[in-house]
Parts: sequence; C-alpha cells; structure tokens
Amino acid sequence: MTFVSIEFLAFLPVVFAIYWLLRKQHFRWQNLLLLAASYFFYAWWDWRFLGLLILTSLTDYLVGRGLAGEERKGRRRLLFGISLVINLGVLGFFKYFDFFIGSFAELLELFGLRANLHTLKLIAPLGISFFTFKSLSYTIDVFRKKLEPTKDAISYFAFVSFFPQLFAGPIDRAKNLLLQFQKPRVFKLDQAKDGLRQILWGLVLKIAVADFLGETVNTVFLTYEHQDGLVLLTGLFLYAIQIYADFAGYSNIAIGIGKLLGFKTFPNFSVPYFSRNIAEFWRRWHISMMSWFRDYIFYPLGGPFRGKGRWILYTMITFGVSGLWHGSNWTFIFWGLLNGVYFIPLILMKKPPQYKGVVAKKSKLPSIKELLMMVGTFSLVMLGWLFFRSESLGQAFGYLGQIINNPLNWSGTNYGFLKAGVIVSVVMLLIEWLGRRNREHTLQSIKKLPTWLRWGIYYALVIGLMLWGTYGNAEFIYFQF
Amino acid sequence: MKIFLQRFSIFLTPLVLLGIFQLLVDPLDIYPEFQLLPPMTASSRTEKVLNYLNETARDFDTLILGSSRAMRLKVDALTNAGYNAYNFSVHSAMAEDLYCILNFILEHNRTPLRWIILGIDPECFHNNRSVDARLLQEHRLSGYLIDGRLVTQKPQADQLQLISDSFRYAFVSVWSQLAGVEKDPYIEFDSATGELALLTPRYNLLEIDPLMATSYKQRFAAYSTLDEDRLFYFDSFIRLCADNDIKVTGFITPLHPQLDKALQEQGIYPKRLEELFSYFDEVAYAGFEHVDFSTPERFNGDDYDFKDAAHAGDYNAALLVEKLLNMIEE
Repeated sequence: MTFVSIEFLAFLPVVFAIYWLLRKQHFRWQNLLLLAASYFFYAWWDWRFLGLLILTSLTDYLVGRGLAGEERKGRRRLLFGISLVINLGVLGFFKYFDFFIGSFAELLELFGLRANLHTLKLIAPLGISFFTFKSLSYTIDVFRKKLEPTKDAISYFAFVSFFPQLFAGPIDRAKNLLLQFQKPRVFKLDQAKDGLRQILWGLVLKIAVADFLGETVNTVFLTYEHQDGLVLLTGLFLYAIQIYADFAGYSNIAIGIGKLLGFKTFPNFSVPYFSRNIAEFWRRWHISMMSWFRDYIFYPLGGPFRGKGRWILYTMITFGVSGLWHGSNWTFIFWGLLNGVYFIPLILMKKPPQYKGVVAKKSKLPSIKELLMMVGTFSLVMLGWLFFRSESLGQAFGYLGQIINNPLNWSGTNYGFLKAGVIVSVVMLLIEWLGRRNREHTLQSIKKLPTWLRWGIYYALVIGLMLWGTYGNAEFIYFQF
Repeated sequence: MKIFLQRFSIFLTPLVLLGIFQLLVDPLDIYPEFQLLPPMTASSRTEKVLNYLNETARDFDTLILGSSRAMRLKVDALTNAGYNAYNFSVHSAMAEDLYCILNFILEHNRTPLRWIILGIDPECFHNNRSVDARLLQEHRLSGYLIDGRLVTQKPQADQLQLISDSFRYAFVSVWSQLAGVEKDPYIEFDSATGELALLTPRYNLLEIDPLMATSYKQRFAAYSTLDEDRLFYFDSFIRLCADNDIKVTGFITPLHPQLDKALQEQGIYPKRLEELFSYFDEVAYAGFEHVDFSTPERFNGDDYDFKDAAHAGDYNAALLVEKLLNMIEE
C-alpha cells in the first residue's frame, strides 16, 4: 500500500475517523490505533519484514530503559553499543552485504585472484534506512542525556513505525515526534485544513510532475549513447525536477497526513533549487536527513572546530556516509563525495557567505547576481544527480562524455519528446517560486485568497489529477533507500 | 471537527457526482452491468476486446495480428476469397501481445481458426521496452502473461489509472454522442473495414516528417538484442498455433523507403532484422512461413503510398493482402 493507491484511499479515512472518535479516551488508545494501523500498513507491503521493525523498536526501547538512571559510563557505553550493533547490523546485512561481497570479489579480480564468493540476493526491507535512523536517534539522544527515556512502550513503538513516515521519512527525531505521542492531541481546524492542502500539493508533485517526467527521463538515460548534449542536459534537468517532485511530494503527503492526525513535523524541503550556494542547498534539501548526519556524524567527529583540514575531512566523511546511506552502489558514494568536494571552496574562504532567508524575500524577481548563483548551484546539483541516477559509474561518465563529444546535432536528433516535460517542469518551478516565502509548503500561499478562488484552485488540481494524472507507478524513488 | 467534516463533505459532493457520472457512462466497461451509453473507448487493447466480444457470431477462421502497421490490412479481400477474417491488431504490439491475444481468441472464438496473417515489426522483440501499459490494463488479455517472463508476477490492472482513464473517456463518450462525430484523434474506426482497397486513391507521401525518422531511430537506439523473453512468447505463440492446426503467414511490415534508409544508416534496424531471420531459420517452425515485405519494392508496392513513415496506404495494404493470399493459395 502506498499513498497513491486505492487501498490507501480507503485506509486513511478509516484510520482518521477511528482516531478522532477515540479523542475523548486516554491518548494511549489513539497511539495503540496508530501502532496497529502502521503495522498493518507495513505488513501490506511484506509482513515478513515486520519482525525487523519490531526488533529495531524493541532494541532501542529496552536500551533506553536500561540507560534510564544508569550512571556507570562503561555500562552506558555497553548498552549504547548493543543498540548500534543491532541497528547497524540489521541495516548493514540487508542493505550492504551483497554490495561489499560483490565489491570485494571485484577487487580480488583486479589482482588476478578469483574468489568463490556468493551474494545472498537479499531484498532490502522497505524504509529500513529511515526507521533505523529514526530509532537510533532516540538512543543517541538518551545516551547523550539530551532526552529522557520513555517508559511508554506503545508510544515509542508507534513513534518508530508511524505510517506516514515509515517508507521514506521525514526522519523525525524523538525530541519532536515522540514527545507529541506522549500527550493528548487536539483537533485544530486550521492545522487539518493545511494538512489537506499539503497532501494535495504532494499529490500534484508526485502524479502530475514526477511520474509524468519519469518516462521521458528513462528514455534519455536508456538511449544516452545516441543522443546529443542538448537532449542529455535536458534529460538531466528533467531528472532533477523528477527526483525533487517525487521526494518532496512524498514528504508533503507524509507531513500533511501527520497534520490531519494532530502532529506537527518540520518541513523536509524548503525550495532547495532556489539556493545560492551548495551549503544553502543542503540546508533546504532532505532537511531531516542532513540534520541527522550533521548532529550524529559531522559534529561528533569534530565539526568545523579543529582547523580547515579536518573540517574538509569530516565533511567528506559525512557526505560519503550519506551517499552510502542512499544505496549500496559506488554511484551513490561518488555522488556523496562529489557533494563534499563542492564544500571545499566554501570551507577555504575566510568568510563564507551565509544565506539563511529565502532568496529575493522582498522582491518579485532575483537580482542578476542571485540568479547566476542559483543557476550555478543548480548546475552543480544537477551534475551530482547524474551519478545518483546512473546505474554505474561507467554509465555516468559515458553520459558526460557524450555531452562533451556530441554537444549539438540539430538535424539528427528528436527534441520533440522533451517538450511536454520541460513545460511541466518550468511551470512547477514558477509555482514554487511564487510560493517560496511559505514556511511549510507551496499551497500555503493560497490560504488568504477568497474562498471561491481557493476552492476553484482545489477543484482544478483535483479534477486535473483525476483526468490527466499519470498513475501506475505508485512507488516513490526514495523507497529504494 | 464538525466544521471540518461539513466543509470537506461539501467539497467532495461535486467530485462524488462526477464519480457517479463516470460510473453511469462507464466508457471502458469496467463496472458490471448497467451502461448509460454504448462503450466508447480509446484505441486501446480494451477497445479491441470489447469490439470483438460485441461481434455477434464470432465465427472467424482467419485472424490478422500485429501492430498499427498491420491494422492497415482490410479484411474485404480476404472475405472475397472465402475467408471470414478479423483484424485484431493493436497499437505497438509486442510479442507478448500476440501471445495474449491468440489465447483470448482461442478461448472466445466459436469456430476453429485456420489461418493467421501476422504483421511482424522487428521492434516487437525489443529488449529495452517494457510491457505496454495498455496490455497490463486489459486484464482479459494480460491474464495470459507468464510469471517471470517480462513480468515478475501476473499484473493487476492499476485501478487508479483505469478509473482516471474512465473519467476522461466518460466526457469523450458523451461528447461523441452529442456531436455525432468522433473527436478524439486516438480513436480509429477504419482499422479493418472500408472500401475496396484497390479503388481508393493512393497516398502520395513524397517526404516523411524528419521528426518521425528521428523518433524511430530513438526507438531503435536502445534495441541492442532480440529479447529472450519476447522470443519465448513468440515461440509459445507459434507452438499454440501448431497445437491448434493454425497456419501462420508472417510478413515484415513495410516502412516508407526514406524511413528505411534512415534506419539502415543508423545500422541497428538491419542488424535486428537479420538476427530475426536467422532466428526464424534456426528454429524452423512447422506451419509458419515468413516473408520480407520491409520495403515496398519487395512486394511491388508504391514507394509513396504511405499514411506516414511507417503505415502503409490503402493501395499498398491491399496489395499486401493480395500477396499473402497468393502465398497461402500456392
């Protein structure tokens, strides 16, 4: 069951109705319902992996309980170590075992050795990277004494398996989400309405943009050896839009559902393609993941405080791990390291520019300088996406080589199939530009419009999706991570 | 909460009415029983299935199969020659389409088939094209797909896509009824019926659209080998024909000479064609003969009688049927 499916269309209203019918009971009943609904949601995909979800939750819950009131350092470290071994062990086994075995065999072959190593052809359980990191963040915070361990097992299990975030995040921390599970939720009209708006915008991004672009992007990547540079660059641009629309679409739907159920989650994307440098981009893209890596890897390593050399090293490690987190392929590791390299000039600058507010906050259009900076940043990001999207490093470099060797071939190339995708992408970027000042999502801008106009927009979007939506590809790109 | 539910219900009301409208019109015949209007569908597999099931007799002994290029063949000349023929060609037919359609026909036809005219596009063995979504949607055909061959498991029709299509075509159906004309450019009525082919004026396509040529080149660009699974479907198709005593006459569908030239220059099309012939020779199916009509000169056709770069005109189509009839009668 995914967000774009008939089953979910039935599932969500039922959960919503029972959930709020229980509002007069103790909130534990609501948590119990959410837990049951989340396990049902996960089991619908594959019930056999439900055990892993329970194992992760149980481990960190028990470790948290063990850490409560435990002051002996050695004992605390032992408990923390148990959590790390189990969580990372499960993650590593299912996600990376085959990759490391395969890579090791390839390495031996380089030296002329033939190893008789077998991969296990394991299926990575859906959402494993997300729920493992979510649960792990709880243990780390408790270990660091930044969070009180909870006694309430139901709350904790419901927090880890919270169905809107289960498959692809956001990786909401215990400090925010778990605490909300531990107190009564109140239905707020404005929050629920905003949740619906956010879900609608998420569906538009997914169905009308990401899935619409998917086929064109696949065609370009499949036939890249026969295309000219213009087609390849356009294909890359379309992929940049596709992955954003797909993932931001998912995040919007997940956060919107959370709002309907009375939860408040931080935004996961904040108009990342309007960033003026790479540091700003990574503050606006997949915010929950990047803040996880920043708080639990980059800063514990030493952060920016031990000289520029180490700062660069820690940045490279953080981005390398982030690449590996995305998948067991050298393309992801390369993508991560490439993004780390992008930071080096900023680190070496005496006073790197800090862009915290949104671009052109007080004007309709950006200045020429801002525009150039945005285009420059977007180009760097796009280059990274090439490695992210490619099936192998060979394909990525082949793609790049083809752009350089065959930049334009007007007479022998069909550009027509890109037209619709480019139009859809540009329209989406324009809408996002208009809504860039909103704190949480693009459709927030319309809440102050007159009712007739607002409802007109809702109907246009809903009916547009019903009539011309691209369905049949219900899975989101980030499910594979 | 009450206000929220009230407003949301008001918002949903027109959408529910729209849903009821779609349910009553049911243009794709996806809901059981009652239909307000006769089915009016896209040129999809579903349309073909419905049209076939709506044939009262269903006593055909000859079947024309293939892609939109084979759709150009009209049954009249076959009827005159004593065959009761039906053209079940579908857009972008791949090998698995042929296999599924044959199974469907064998199950629903009331008399035994004796001859299949098979238009073979070399692309129907493409190794980098997925199963056509329109086949996956039509469960009466896709049910014959084989687990592990192109599909990991038997596909379920994507309900949301089906409903979305149904919404769209509900409007098309009503518009067609009101206006009395077909407005959707994708709907093709004359695929297998019409005037006597030789009497109709020839097309005169001197120059093909260059975009069409590049789009075909693109289609071939990722076609690096004959797909094993698609060959398996083709083998199964021929085996099924042999089991049912059906003769199969296959012909490579003709292309406009300019498109043929462009594809020859690209080099992939002739390679795949050669591999295909070698494959046919290697397996040497009993009851299957094939002929290369890939250019008009191979069947003494008119170089310019084409609707577009890849679809024969009426004259060429009639000539193809005539040649194929001669083949079977010899």
